[in-house]
Amino acid sequence: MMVADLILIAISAGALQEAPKDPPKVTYEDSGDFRLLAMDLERRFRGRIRFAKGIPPKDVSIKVKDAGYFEALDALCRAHKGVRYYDLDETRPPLLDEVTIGSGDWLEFPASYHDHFKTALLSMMRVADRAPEGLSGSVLVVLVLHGPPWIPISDERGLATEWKVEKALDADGKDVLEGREERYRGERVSISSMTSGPNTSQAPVRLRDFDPARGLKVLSGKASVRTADVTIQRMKVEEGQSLEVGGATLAVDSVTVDRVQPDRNKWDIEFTFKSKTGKGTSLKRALEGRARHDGGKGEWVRFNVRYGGQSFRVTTAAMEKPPAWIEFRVRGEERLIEVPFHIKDAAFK
Amino acid sequence: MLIALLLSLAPVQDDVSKWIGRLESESIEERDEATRRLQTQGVGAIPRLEKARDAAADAATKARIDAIIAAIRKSAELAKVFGPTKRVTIAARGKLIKEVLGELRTPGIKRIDPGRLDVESRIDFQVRNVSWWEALDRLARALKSRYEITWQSGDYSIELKPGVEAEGPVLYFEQFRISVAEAKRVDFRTPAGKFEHALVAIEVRHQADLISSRCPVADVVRIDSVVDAKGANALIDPFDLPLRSYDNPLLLSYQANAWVRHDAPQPLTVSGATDMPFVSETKEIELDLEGDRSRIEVGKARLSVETFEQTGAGARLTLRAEAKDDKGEEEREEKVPWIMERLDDSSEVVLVDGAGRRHAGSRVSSRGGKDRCAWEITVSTGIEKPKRVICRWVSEIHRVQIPFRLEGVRLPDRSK
Repeated sequence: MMVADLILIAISAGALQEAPKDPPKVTYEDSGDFRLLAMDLERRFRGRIRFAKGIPPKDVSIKVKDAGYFEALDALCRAHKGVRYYDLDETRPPLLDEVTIGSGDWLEFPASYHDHFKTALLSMMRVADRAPEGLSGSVLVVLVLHGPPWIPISDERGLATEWKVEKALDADGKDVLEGREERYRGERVSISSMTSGPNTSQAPVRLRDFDPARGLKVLSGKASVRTADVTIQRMKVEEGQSLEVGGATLAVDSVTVDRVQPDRNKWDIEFTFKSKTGKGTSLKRALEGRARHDGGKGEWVRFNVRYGGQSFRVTTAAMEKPPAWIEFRVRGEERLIEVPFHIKDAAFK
Repeated sequence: MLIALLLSLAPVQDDVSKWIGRLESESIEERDEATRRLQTQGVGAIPRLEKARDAAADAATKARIDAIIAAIRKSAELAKVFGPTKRVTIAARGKLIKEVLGELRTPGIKRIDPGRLDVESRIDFQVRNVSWWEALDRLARALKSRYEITWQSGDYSIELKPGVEAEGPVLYFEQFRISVAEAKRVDFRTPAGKFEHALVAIEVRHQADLISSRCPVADVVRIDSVVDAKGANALIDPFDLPLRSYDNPLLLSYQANAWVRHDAPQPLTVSGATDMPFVSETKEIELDLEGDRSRIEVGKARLSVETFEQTGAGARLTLRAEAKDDKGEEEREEKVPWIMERLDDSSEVVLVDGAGRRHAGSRVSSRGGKDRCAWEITVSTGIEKPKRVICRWVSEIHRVQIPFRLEGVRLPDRSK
């Protein structure tokens, strides 16, 4: 099983080097082993899929019409019933440009599909609290936008998705969108749920009181994502080396050994980022927060920009000598993608 | 009513027995009233309270008396550190609201903003010898209002808003007000399942004339137990929940919260304690910019002018403080906690020139922590013949530890 896993990953990784940006939607019908169908879906969209351990083998059927990436993926996982790609119990941190499928009961989140995106309603939390003049209730709903692997949307990349909820009707058709009346704002404790996923953006939305068991008849609006195509740029790992990134310069400040032990050295590479005009692009806009280097495992390793937004450190994997080169994911011109959503009859019994 | 008033005017020996008897009352209100009355009896009442505790039949009454004894001792301690608590007596009949609001003036609160109230209308309002927080609560309720605390340009204000605050147990203790700020039910649903829980938040407000210290303390407010009406533990381990809670305390307050079982028989009793750090003593410190008097000892700390330079636009100064190292690491940490919090935030650092003129400085940065710190101060005006620097040093930090027990806590109704 493990060998098969490795072969599948190797095949899929190799096939994805020249992925087109916006593959067409698909209409097809097929039956067979779940993994093979998932690989077929990966080939059709060129959006990388990784299989976590322990997925039960199963023959399933898929039938989709004019479906984008997530609509097709959902149809496949729904048919299996024992797999999912969100809220996985996995120790390995997921990468942003792949979807990891793991074992677990398929969870049917109320959702809306647009092109290759999916907007889902993750949870409803009704809070009843004491307030002036008696009881006050409200419902916090959490929306999540899933971006396909080839379109970076994650908040982790320094991007911010703007959400606008335009309509919210409860099961009786009553408007429950906040802002139509004054809500008590004296809350001293706020509560949130803890879920996250790769290449997603979440939005908590507070609505006027309704019964979550009966749910919402309609929840609609749009998510606006500022995304950018990414090019990979390489620079030498030597003090004083620099790389032109848009209207700014990225420079290697220092390369120091983090731990002195044969074959176990880690290397700290310090970078500073200077805009040429002083008011140019910011580091977070210019680079995705990940880098990879030679001598490592080839994985993109996250780094955190320091307070002030002008410097960061990349710590390498254990290696005897410092890497000769390092690669960054440089963001190009930003483009705005608007993802409308319209979720109907969402209730959590 | 008149009898009760007269009794309260002249505490007599028999009062203690009477109020001790009412500690076993079925009524929460009567028990609370008895508790309050006993707490005002002073340390002289402690021996009789101790006897009553030893003779009490049930554990709840014993616990109540213990809490009263602790409170009396605590009152005496706080009076020593912060001075007497401001008490308010207002006897207003047909008085203008603006005049009644004026009677609540207190150090640290710049104004009480009446909001949408008609301050020219009249009100009957009476309180007698209550703490400032209690007077404010009762006046707000009489005006069918609640209030918010705001801060602007170094001053606190109280802003009245329409709508009465929800009823809940409140303890007024000297300069402090301890209450249940939130009691909420949470019904959380996802496709994976349904979780019902409840949450209780305790808030401790302090008078505006007490200066809180940022000196880190593990639990400024600690909830030790939440017990349901049948005496069973109602607390839930927050790590077992799919939810996380975040406190948004009001100004002049500290807060803590606890998750509890949503189906716990009510009312609940919440017990815990505070450990709030306040500045209790400051002293003015003068250092020369150079020479022997550019380094001095203040209590267990050494303070010095590390650098001074005049710049084109003004001057830049670095003050440095270190815990004295004469008795080892343990001594340093014990006796001079959090050096970083010792330069008094509420007063300016001033540079004095050769002619005795004072130039106010601005703190631009501070680096340090437990046992050492350096503060960078700039002065934006030119200074001729600069001589010395004056600042205020926090010489004492007092941690106010008040045990509390709030009975009669009710969760909101479950229905929509």
